[in-house]
Amino acid sequence: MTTPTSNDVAQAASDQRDEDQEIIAQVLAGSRDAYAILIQRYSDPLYRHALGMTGSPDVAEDILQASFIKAYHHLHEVRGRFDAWLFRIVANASKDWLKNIRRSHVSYEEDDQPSGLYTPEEEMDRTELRTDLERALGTLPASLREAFVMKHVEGRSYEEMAVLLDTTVGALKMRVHRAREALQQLLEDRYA
Amino acid sequence: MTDQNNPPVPESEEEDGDPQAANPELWKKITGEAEMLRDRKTPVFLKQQIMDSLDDKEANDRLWKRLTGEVEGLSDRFADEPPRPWYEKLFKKDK
Repeated sequence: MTTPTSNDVAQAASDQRDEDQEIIAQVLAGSRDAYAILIQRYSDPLYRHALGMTGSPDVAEDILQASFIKAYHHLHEVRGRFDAWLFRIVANASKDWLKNIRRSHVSYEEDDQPSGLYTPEEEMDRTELRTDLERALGTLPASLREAFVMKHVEGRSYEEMAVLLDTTVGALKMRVHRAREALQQLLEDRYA
Repeated sequence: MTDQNNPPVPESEEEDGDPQAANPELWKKITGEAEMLRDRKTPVFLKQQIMDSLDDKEANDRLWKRLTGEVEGLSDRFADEPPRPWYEKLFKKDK
C-alpha cells in the first residue's frame, strides 16, 4: 500500500470541490435530495467546530442545522469553495453565539459519557480537566479560541485555516501561540 | 528589538509551540483532551432533521436569530416580564 503524497491530497480536494459545484448545480436545478450529499460530506468537521467553540452539543446541533438550512436558501450566492463558504457561516454563528448568548453553565460535560478506556479515577480526572479546559477556553477572546480549536481540536493545518478564515498563516500562528500561552497560565496552578 | 506587547510571529509550526516546552506534561494533557473531541460525529438523527426542515425557512430564521442574536429583541428571551399597566391592579380588585 502506498502513502498518498501531498499532491494526491491536493488533487482529491480539488476533485471534491468540482463535485460540490456539480451537486450545487443539481440542487439549484430542483434536485433537493442532492443536498443530502453535501450534508453528509461536511457535517462532521463543522459539528466539531461548533462544539469546540460553544462547548455545548445542543448548541452545536442547532448551529449546524441553522447553518445548513441558511446555506441551502442562499446556495445561488456561492462563489468559489462551497466548504469554505459554509465554514464561515458556521464559524460566524459560533462566534455570534459566544458573544451574545453564551451562558456560564454550558460545558462539554452535557453529554459526556465514560469512554471505557480509563479507570473510574482516570475518568474523574479527565472530566475535571475537560471542565477546566472548557472554562479556560471560555475566557479566551473568540478569535484565539477559534484558532486553538481549529488547530488542536480539529487538527487542521495552518494553510487550511488561513483559507477558511481568510487570513495569513503568520497571523494564525500568533493566535494559536497566544491561546496556548493563556491556557497554560490558566491551568498551570492546578495541574503543574 | 522585541516589543513585549507584539512578540515576533513564530516562524515554524514547531516554534509556535514554545509555551508547552515549559511544562510538557500539562501540555500533553491539554492537547490530549482537545484531541478527544476530534472523534466526535454529527448525531445521525440531525442529518435527517436538517433535510426534513430545509423548506421551513421561517422556523430556521427564528432558530438563527435565537442562536446568534442577529436582530433586535434578542434579549426578549431572557428579559424580565414587562411591567403591567397600573390600572390592571384596580380591575383585579373589582372582580
